[in-house]
Amino acid sequence: MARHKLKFDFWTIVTISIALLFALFLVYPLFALFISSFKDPATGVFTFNNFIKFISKKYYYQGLLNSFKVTTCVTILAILIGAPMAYIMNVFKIKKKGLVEVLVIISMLSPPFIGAYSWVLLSGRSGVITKFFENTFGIHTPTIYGFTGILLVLTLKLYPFIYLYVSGALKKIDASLGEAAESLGCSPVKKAVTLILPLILPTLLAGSLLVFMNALADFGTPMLIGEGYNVMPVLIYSEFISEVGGQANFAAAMATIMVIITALLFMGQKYVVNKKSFTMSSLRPIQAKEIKGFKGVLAHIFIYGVVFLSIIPQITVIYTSLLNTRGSMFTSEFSLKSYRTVFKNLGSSITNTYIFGLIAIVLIILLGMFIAYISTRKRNMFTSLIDTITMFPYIIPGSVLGITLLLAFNKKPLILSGTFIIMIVAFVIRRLPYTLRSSAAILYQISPSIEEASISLGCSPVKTFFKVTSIMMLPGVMAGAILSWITVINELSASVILYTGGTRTMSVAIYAEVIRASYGTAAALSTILTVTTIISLLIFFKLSGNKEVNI
Amino acid sequence: MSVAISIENVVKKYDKLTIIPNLSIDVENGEFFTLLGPSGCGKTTLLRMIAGFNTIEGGSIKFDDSVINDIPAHKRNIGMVFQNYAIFPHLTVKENVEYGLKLRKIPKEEFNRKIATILETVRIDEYKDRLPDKLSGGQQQRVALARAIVIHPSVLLMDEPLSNLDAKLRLEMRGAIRDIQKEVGITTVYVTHDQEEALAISDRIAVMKDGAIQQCGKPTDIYTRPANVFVSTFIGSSNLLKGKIQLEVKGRYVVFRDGYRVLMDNLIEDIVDGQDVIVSVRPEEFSIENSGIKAYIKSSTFFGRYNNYEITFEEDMVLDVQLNCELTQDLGHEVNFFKKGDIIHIVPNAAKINVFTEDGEQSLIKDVRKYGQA
Repeated sequence: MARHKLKFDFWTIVTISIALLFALFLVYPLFALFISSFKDPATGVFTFNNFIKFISKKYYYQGLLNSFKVTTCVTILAILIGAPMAYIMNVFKIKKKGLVEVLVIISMLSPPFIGAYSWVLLSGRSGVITKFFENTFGIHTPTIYGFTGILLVLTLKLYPFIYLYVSGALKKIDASLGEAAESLGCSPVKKAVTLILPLILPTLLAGSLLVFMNALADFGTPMLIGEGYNVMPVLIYSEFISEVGGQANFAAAMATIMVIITALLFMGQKYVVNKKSFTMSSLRPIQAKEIKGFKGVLAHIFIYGVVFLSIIPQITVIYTSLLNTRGSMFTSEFSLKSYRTVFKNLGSSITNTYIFGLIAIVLIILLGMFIAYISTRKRNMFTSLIDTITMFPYIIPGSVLGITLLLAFNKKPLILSGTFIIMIVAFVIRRLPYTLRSSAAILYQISPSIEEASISLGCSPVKTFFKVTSIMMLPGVMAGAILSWITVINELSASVILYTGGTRTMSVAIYAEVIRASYGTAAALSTILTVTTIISLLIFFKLSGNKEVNI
Repeated sequence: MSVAISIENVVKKYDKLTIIPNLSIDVENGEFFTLLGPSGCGKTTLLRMIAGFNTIEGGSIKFDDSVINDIPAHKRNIGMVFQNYAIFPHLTVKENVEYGLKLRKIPKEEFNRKIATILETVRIDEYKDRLPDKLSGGQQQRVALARAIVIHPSVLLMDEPLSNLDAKLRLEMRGAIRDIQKEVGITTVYVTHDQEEALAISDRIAVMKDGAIQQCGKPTDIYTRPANVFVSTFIGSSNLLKGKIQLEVKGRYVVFRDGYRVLMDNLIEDIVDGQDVIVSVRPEEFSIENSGIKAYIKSSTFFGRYNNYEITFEEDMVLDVQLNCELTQDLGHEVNFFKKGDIIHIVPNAAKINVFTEDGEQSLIKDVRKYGQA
């Protein structure tokens, strides 16, 4: 019968092409990574030695323990800051709420290493705050380097995830639920614990996992502020870099361990959330109440305090970028010298960032729309598989992805290492999920009968996709694409492994300048990057019509 | 040009689940044909097979003489009106209506004339530059109808188009659809679960259940002479009473459990004395007399034009499946109203009532057949 024939229509071709792309650029490299982690560096024979080396030497396994210690602490602190903040912001009227939310989102979407480097500038050995306390009071402030610094920077960077997730969940709770509890004699505090907390718990778990994964995978922060406090991504990077030219099997083994851990966490979280999830829709969301007196002051101090702390890095880089420099020191007079240096020596990193970013974002939009369409409208085993594979980047830390790509494409037949193509591949794979998920979300809201209406009027299915479906998808696609764009231009952990002199991007250049203690140029570059991020965000808010970001 | 549709032995399966086992039906050119049935009976599935949105697992569907099974939906030249209207939200009313016509390469002048005519016919001319979200439900409905008709489709397919409208608008649009269909003369297949709507709007109705057509015919035939108990209770309401056949020299009777009997002159030949039957009496087919079947008034509802009584009979008179028995009293001629607890005597109208086999599957009235039987 005709229907059993494999028809080579447009969507079949799209599906197969996408499957091939992912097989080549994601599945094959990962596979190659696992294989090489079981190979002896010298002889190439199968061995467990790489793994044995890891668990038998304290230097290495301590890195994993450190990672867990930092990550767990960051997650707990992020919950303790983010969840109460979301509750206060949604239940009480806080002045300048809109501005607070925008600042929170800006601090979340700026590159984390800018945070690390700003805190070094402020409270490092020769930092402004350190000097101030030393010179005025003769007090030695506690060191910012190591565990404390990583904790501070990552918490301030990651609590917004919890804040946004919990805020979203709170908005879905119908006010009548709270009123019912109150009518039954429940005090406000008890209500928060017995009613609100259980209702937001699945969301809180999802947000916590996101924080945990991000903290675990973060490379820039521990590299800049860790100073010997080794965590996994740093170990993997330094092992890999030190072995370049030779074999990278040991780094591959460590990367494998990390991927396994994150995969297990991800699956565990899915399992828990699926068991606990329930759908809520609120016809009448909770209305924010006036908060007065002592309580009101306290609430405002808490909110503004947190936001101020998290926005300090941005203020610091913008301010210092306008200062004159002498060597690695800032002087007190204003000057545009740093910017002149940047445009003279590092101009290519700026153009690279924009060009690579634009190419990547075009590919991300196309892939995102196509994959969203085939996985929602042409659902079968094959498209579901593609949908699952596109979620891989959630569990693969950037530095690991960088290594897998480099290991897979540094030999014939396909040599991509050192080219801009490999950078773009990394960008697309890592940042596709934002666009994909928001495209799929909007597709679920578009009734298939709209497409059928177009087809019934004589428009072919492919034409219908481009004339009707794609246009209706655009708002969702663009909302996701801007997030993808912002995170692409701020990408560091994969780029730092994949870049060469000619393909250096802004974030890589900033990292290199900070390492060289060339703080002026780093500040100028960071400012350019931050301003680009903020402008992109403003466009996003304008397009989406509200101030909500779905990560 | 409008076409006749012939559906021959079609089968619809989803994996192992069979929705339509084997269904045949012919729709005449220009006819307003309604598929009526409870939800899940396969009526929308069948409509979407005609449209080309569902695959056909067996049999064939023809437009006039050409089989369309393998023709993709967009080449079938159909007009479809969806339950949720499916108006393109990014296009204005006029652009929505133009959408299908633009794909058809029509001279500018004719194009403009057609658009102007249809906008006027469905009375949406004044909203033509608005975006759909500024339209009411009834206006959206008219846009959907105009968009489907303007391309002069071979068939017009409508999937419960009125179910999202409020009661008053539904009546108004029902009339409008009927008028426009007759004016344009397009073969129309209409899906609904609302029996009243089906009776009012259709040339012919096919009553469906479990993927099979139970009965097909004109609205009056289906209402007055249902082919089985399912049709008699799904279309309108019917009181189902237990009865027996009694053959005597004087004639053939249907006897109720309390001994009351009616002389029937329209039963088929193939019945035997003492055979158990189901007697189906519509609420308006009883008349209140001085003697007859004894009934008790359980409650009374006043509808203005008539009174509706909920009644009970002596024990074992009615089928166990029957929850409520009903009796209507036309208030144009009646002066006596009854109240709860009153005892009345009612007489069924022998010329109107229907008699079915004990299993309810077969009518015992002459010339009434279940669909598909010779």
